[in-house]
Amino acid sequence: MKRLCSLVAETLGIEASAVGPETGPGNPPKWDSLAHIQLVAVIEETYGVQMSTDEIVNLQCVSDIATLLQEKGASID
Amino acid sequence: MDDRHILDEVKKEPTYANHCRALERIQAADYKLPGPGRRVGLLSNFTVDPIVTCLRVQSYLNVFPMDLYVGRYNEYAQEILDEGSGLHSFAPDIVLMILMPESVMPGVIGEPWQDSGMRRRLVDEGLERLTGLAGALRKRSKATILISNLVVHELSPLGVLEWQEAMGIDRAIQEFNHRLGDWVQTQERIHILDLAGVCAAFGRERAFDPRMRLLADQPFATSFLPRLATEILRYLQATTGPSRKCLVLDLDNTLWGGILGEDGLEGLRLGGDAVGVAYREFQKSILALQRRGILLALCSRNDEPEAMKVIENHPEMVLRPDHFAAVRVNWGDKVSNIKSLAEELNIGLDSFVFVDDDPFERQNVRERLPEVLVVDLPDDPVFYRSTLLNLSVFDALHVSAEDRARGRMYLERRGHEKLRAEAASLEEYLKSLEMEIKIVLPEGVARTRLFQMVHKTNQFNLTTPRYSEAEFEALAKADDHQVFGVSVRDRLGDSGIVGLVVLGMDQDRCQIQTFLLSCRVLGRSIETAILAHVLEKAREARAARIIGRYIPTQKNGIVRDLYQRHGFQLVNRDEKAEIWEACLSGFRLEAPPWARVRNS
Repeated sequence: MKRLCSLVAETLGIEASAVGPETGPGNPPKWDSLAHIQLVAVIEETYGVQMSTDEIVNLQCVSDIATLLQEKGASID
Repeated sequence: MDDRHILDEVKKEPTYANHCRALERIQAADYKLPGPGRRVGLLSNFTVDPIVTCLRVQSYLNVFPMDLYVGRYNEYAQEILDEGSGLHSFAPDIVLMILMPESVMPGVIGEPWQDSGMRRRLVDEGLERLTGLAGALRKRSKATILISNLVVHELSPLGVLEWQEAMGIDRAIQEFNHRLGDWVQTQERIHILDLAGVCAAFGRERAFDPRMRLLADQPFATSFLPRLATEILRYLQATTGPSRKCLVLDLDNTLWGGILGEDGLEGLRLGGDAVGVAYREFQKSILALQRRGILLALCSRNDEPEAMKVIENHPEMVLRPDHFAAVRVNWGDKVSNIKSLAEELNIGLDSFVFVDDDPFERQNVRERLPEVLVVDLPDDPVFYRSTLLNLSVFDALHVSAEDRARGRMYLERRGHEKLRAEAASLEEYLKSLEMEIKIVLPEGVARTRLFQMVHKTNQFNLTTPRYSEAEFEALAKADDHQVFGVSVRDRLGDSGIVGLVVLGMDQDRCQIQTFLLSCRVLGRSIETAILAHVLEKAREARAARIIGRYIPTQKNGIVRDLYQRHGFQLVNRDEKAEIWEACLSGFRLEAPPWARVRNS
């Protein structure tokens, strides 16, 4: 989870301490719709998974991402 | 943290994620490349932010300082047509238009049921609109304009029917691209960015991602973005012509397989088997560069007569002795050989690219001559050719007749050196050359060549201005300026256009704003002949004083005393520039009899 949080922080350009399981689109404001797509792109590349269009749209927070990644067999540490 | 390490990760693994991370770090560290950046305006009809992220990082990786303006989403027409738009107030040097087909030809992909006649109309109308916009942009902006051609974001929806129809979808796009290419041929300052070619090279199925297109109106696959940005940057860099001028080549295991000293001429691998043919293909791409104006030089540890025998006589050699502007085949150190090549060819070390299969030699040159670009040849000679073609330092958006003739001119210079050795005195030699110095007006191809000289001439260049193409065009047309080039021909050959002067006429003052001369023709008093001609021009314009400026750079020390030598007085000096002046009444400046300017 820590690695995922720091990946999110780095991609959005915010402090790592500001990212937790509850962080999601709209909060912080920097996580806007475009940032969401960029983040998905980075996560797919980093974890070697592919998400469906609906899965991308339905991601509400970092813990959703973690769950989805685990479902897809990626290891989260 | 050392700024350069910010880029280590993305350099090693150029993924999209690493580009995003690198950009964050660049911004956090407020890392800036030195020097003024090229001002680049980007217009598009889709979401370009992810491309921009990669492009910014690539500009750091390639040390190409750049200020970027990104036009408003899908408002490229407004940005162009509205003279008060963000684009125009940004005053770009380069405008890049990257467009997806749907807004250029509405329905061409989205309505695959359309018939051939309809598609033909869409091509006609789309071309008219786009060329009209590009023309309008040129009128309103001084920028060099790069337009991407069109690419279909999927394999043709028509399937096997595609080429059975008179005008399938792919074909309509190709037709559009061909005709756009034809149009650009007739246009100044407008060039094509071959997006279709870049996507094809990566693979059309891999280059696009429909999820990204539908979620964010960004058609490209993430894994393609870094590559796309790299290719776009090549075009941006090419707008000012090649950044390097000379390719220094080793022989053994570089231009041919095997070692001449051990295997002999007959034992060399060149032509014949697969690897032998690879060496031949490598030579052919080198010859293509030479024909575009890149100088070739040899630097090899061998016995010169033996090596030259192979180059002259081996039936499979593509490169022959005449293709090389200078030769260093000896047992000496390559670093000193490259230094002496720089002296002979009169170009800086930062104009050299060094190609050698031996990692030791490469490391040696890299460490001791850091200005030289050292190419890492792959182990398998089959990939030499693509390694060379992937170098962006020789890229150019146009090739002039002068470029094409450059190799020959240097060869003629080798003749000059010989003649000079034979003539008893320098004066006698210069007389024997029968030089013809002519004034050339900045029109057509001559203007293209003169513009290139503005960016390429570093040594004999009094003020080193770097005009944009449009600024230069405007100067050439301005009433209060006189722009002229100088061409030189002599008994041994035609050096073509070698000099440029820009005069600003301001009441009773004639200001020499730009004065530059190619190093190929120094040491023949041509600069004196040109100054005498400037004097004449100033008198014609009824000027009372001629004013010359010298702005020192790291490279132009050669002209430090030019005005002094010609009788000008120093009137002002600060840390940036020196101002020299001559009052025309009673001022005399005469060129030696063998160097006189003729009006053409």
